Amino acid sequence: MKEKMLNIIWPLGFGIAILLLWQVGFLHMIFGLKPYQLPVPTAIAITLSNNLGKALTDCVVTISGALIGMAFGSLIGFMIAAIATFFPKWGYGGMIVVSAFNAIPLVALSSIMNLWFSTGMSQKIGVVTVVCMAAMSMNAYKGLNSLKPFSVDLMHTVAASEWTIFTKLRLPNCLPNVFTALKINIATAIMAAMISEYFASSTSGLGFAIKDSLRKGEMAMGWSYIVVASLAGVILYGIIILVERNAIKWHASQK
Amino acid sequence: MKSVKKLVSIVLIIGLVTMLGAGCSSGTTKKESSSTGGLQKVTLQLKWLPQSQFMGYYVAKEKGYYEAEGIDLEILPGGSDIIPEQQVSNGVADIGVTWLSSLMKYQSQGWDLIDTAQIFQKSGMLLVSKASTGIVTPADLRGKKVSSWFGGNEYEIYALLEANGLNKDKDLTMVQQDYTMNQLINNDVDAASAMTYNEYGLLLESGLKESDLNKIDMNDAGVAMMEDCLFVSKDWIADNEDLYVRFLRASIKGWADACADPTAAGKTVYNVDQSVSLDHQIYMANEVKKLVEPAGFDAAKIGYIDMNAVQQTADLSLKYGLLTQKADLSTATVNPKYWEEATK
Amino acid sequence: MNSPEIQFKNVNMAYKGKSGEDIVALDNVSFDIQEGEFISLLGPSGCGKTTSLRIIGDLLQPTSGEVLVRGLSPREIRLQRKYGIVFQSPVLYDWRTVRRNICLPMEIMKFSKKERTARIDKMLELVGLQDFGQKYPYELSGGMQQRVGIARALALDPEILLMDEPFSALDEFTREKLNEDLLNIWSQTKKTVIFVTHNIPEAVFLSDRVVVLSPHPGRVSAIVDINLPRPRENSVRETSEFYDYIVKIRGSFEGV
Repeated sequence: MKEKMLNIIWPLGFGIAILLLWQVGFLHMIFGLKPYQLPVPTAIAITLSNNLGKALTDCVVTISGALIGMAFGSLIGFMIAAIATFFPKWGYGGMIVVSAFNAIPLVALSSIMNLWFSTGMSQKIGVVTVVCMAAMSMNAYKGLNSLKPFSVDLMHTVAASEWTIFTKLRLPNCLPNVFTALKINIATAIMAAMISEYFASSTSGLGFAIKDSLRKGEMAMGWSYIVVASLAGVILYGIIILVERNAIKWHASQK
Repeated sequence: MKSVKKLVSIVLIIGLVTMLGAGCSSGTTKKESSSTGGLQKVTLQLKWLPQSQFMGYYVAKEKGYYEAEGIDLEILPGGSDIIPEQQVSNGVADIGVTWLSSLMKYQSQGWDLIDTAQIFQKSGMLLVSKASTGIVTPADLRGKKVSSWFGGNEYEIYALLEANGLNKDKDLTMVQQDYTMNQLINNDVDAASAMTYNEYGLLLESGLKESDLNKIDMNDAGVAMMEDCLFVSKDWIADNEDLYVRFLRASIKGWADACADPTAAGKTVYNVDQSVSLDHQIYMANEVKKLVEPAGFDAAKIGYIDMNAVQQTADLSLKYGLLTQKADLSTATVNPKYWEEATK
Repeated sequence: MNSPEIQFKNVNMAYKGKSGEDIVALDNVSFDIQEGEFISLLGPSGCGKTTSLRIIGDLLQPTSGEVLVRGLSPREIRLQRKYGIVFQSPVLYDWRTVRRNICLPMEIMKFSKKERTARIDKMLELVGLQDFGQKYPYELSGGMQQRVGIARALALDPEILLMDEPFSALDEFTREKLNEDLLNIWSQTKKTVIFVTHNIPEAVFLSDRVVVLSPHPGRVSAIVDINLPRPRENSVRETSEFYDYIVKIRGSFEGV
């Protein structure tokens, strides 16, 4: 219990210390910055509270796009992994194509999607879908196929069908990998959603707000959006960890 | 503990990427103007890509006007995420070209930047729509989809809307515009921002005729804000006053030559950068000339700061939300003395 | 005498090694197994004992030769679900509790819920894990996990039980304890057991007959009847007969 407390107190204390050093201008001194270049935490907080309504609206736009895109992308990625598992010969080709998608720079992808979709939301979902496919298909494929030695033999001995092997062995076996992919994807999705907003034909969302504020030199405003984005990311990541803890209690990572 | 680490890293990653993406990271090394081969090195940060919008500097450079003043000028092209105010403030560049309205926004937030010369005497901003959309007057924009580049380029549009009784958030949809005119051509938006010297030309080059297009001119609508001006940082000018006056003298000479022969100026720019066609550079040169030397303007006064126009820009900025407090129009923010010295 | 339950006739098994060389895992191997017999396939690594077991279980196909189980092919017997199998490692599914691991084959074979519960209870008692039914595999020691693996195979009451070095990963004490337990369980069911091991005392202690295989290529070098009285307890290991069998089997390895 005491150790648990310390585990919370140390990082918390460290965080507070950084904020204090930032507030009193120590960071500005080290990096040679002026307050208008790097606003202090209180200025950011005040800006945020004055602008909270719009910030939350933008946050909802970005996060909903990120989550919908992540759901699509993860689902498609998983389907590709499943197909590659059932039909290794040509299914693996799909995996290679998906990982090639992953190498497309976000900036290029955003611009391409901007041509394909006319609203900011659909463009965002498109971008996030594409960037979330690879991590899920790679991880899920690994989970569906790195089985303990003899575990398939056990199934064959009782004449189990491929479908039974899939549902009773491969599927539960890949759950930890699916959660790994979800944890990667939630960060990727939020980032991709924001970067896509840099280029979207829309004026809502955290990405546009950050870009627009920083371009106009409204640094405190820009930082207040960055804070909102980070908090949203941390909260969503935390939710995934909680779900993971309950879903795969049996796994080594949860002991 | 492991998950806490992951949480911290995700925060850092999101923070860093957004910072990098927005280009707000600041190199803080102050660059002293160093001399090479008897010439003093000066860097000029453009607001946008190399194009005839900046033809005066290219012409002056080609004709050796800067060398004659003892200056080795380096021209830094701009881009969507290169912000002249930040470049000059960081010391990446010595002198910057930006829109006056944008500069005022930075000044109002404490950035020590000084407006020193006004190259464009008029606004080049248009709101263009296809004639088929039926948008003739600003009031016709109600319920339409209107695009702007944002990042400080939206305020003339905001002023236009509000001056005509339209609420920008409720009465129409504002969307972000990319750097092509495809959204308008493909009917994804009803009206798009266009500079007389660039995007309007792109529309004509795409095959649309002037008769196919309706345009709302910010000057006619009484909401014009001043655009391309030259500015420096307070720290730099304090040490380089004489150098800067020589820079201005050479630049004004270059602008005068360019306006006297826009076709040649367009070719000069085209020789530097072929990213757009020669025809487009020449078209742009002719249009830019109209902003630098409007009808009835004394060519000898290129770069003159019309305080009335500055005042109008400040007033409109305040009225339509670009500024939250009245602009301080003192010599700390707008100082014509270098220009006066250069044109003596 | 009845016809043997399993006939392993002139079986050859060859495959390509990593550098393309021919590896002969089984060279003309033949042996018979009677119904209800406890038979061990014994030999050092590379002798083809596991390969033979996997061929019987239809997890491998021989290059040539014939294998008949009750006059049918191993595949037909496998599809009739006559086999139970225990591996070198427990092969428990981490996401299932002990009970649900034991339940898995019965689930696939669509046993009724009542039947499954009854058999799980019985098996847990048999392997002495009554209090561990709701535990996950990671909460169990290696010996306990292996007992769950055995319980899972026995729960089906399979007609033929295939055991592939089930105790090789365990320490000597646990192994001897489980050997004794296994004989107890087997004496209650009297099913055919094919037991693969490289441990001579283990083979002698458990088996009615020991098929001794020698490696490179895998060949039958001897088939030894073990006529120790049953039921056997660990004390039998201290008798001179037991010792004599060990010496005899050791002598049958050709130059190993």
